[in-house]
Amino acid sequence: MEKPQNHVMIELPNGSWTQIASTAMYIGDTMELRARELDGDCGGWDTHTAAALIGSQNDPVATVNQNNNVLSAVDGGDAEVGAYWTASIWYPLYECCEFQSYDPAPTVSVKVKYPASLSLSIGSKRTHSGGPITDCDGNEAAASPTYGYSHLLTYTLKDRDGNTFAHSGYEATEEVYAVSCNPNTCGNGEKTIPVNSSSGTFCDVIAFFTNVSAPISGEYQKMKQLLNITTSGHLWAVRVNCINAQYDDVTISDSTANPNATCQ
Amino acid sequence: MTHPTIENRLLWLASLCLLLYPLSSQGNAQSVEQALKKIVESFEMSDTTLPLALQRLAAKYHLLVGLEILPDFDGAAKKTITVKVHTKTVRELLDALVKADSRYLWTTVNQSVDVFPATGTDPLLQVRLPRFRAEGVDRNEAVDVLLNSPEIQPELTRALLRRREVMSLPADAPRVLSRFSLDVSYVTVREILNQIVAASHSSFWSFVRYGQQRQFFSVKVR
Repeated sequence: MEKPQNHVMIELPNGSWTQIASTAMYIGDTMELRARELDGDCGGWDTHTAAALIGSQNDPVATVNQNNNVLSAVDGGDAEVGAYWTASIWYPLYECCEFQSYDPAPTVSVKVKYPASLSLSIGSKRTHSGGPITDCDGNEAAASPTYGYSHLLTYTLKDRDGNTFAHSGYEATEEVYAVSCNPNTCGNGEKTIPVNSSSGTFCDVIAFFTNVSAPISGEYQKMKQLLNITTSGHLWAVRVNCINAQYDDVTISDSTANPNATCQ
Repeated sequence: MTHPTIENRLLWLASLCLLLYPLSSQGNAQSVEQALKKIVESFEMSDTTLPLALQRLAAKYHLLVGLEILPDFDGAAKKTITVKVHTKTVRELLDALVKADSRYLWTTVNQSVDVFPATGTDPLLQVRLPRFRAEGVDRNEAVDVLLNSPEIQPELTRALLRRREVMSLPADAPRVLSRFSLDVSYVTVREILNQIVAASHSSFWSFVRYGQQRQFFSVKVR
């Protein structure tokens, strides 16, 4: 008797089915599952699709609707999806065809991707002498007159494996908390930027300026910046920056590993 | 029958404002009193400044706070304070803040908490306007209307004062702000700033003079 082959199958976009041992999904993705058992009866090979009970061992990450066996990615993380059924395996014995009960339980590893970190690329310094400050798309980030400097920043989302995370429906939110400044006029701020769904990047502008004349020696602002990535019902705190904007240029320190840093 | 002159109308308007002021003050005082009675479960800030602590207090406890910062020309305004308050009222927290930086006092004016230097207030904030009107403006535009008003401009010229706002991105990134209209009479600059904060659903304004000759000033509404 040959050992039966048992698989969990997923339906492909073209309607065909393929077997899987593991799969990666994004939150909100769904896939239909089917259990398949391939074994031989006494008369030759045959395909038998069993009526299986399919379930997830980590519902907060991936759930299975047991009415239609549709797997839904709910949250970032790992889940193990298992199928279970009872089958009868037929085999020839002397002149007869005998059977024995068989209870396969194949599993599938499901990885639901999520944004885990941000890499940062800092553009060259731009000096402003009255005109507006523009962002990466040429849109106005600060209206004229502005006197000072700015940098364009490009952030790239990474998943926990360090690969670029690109998917539609994600936004970056920034919370900026003033730590200290001279003159004593700084405050907190927040901003939301959509993440490019094909590149997994978003653009930001960091600038220090006034409306009258360029900042002078001794003028500065120190801030703590929290960067979160959100999609419907989800938020990931992915990066903490300490920003030290001095009169002539800015330093951005990645403090993600030490989120309680004072940034003084 | 004689028609009232413009002067008479203004006098009548001013009298009406004075008549109604205590009523409005009393009504708003109740709401600010209620805000001051709120319980602060935990408020901790280390190595910070009074302006930053007040901003956080105002935002967290939905308090309208106006802060006149000590003139900032030699770094004196940046006294560092540490405040740790647990299970106290907002009033007690305010007391703790001005105790930590005793160069300031606080009081309530209508629906706002005003914090100002113990040594006295800036005359610019005491300038009284017979009327201030701004229509369909956001908070920043309202401040622009105020500072460009014919009552304020001569004061700035006389005092050789220039508005210079130090800003940064992304902290001062433009955002969609609510629009409102204001039409008030016989009010000081300080009272107008309080009204702008209230009408714009903001929580905080600050004023400071700075520069080697104190030639600059900043007015920010947050």
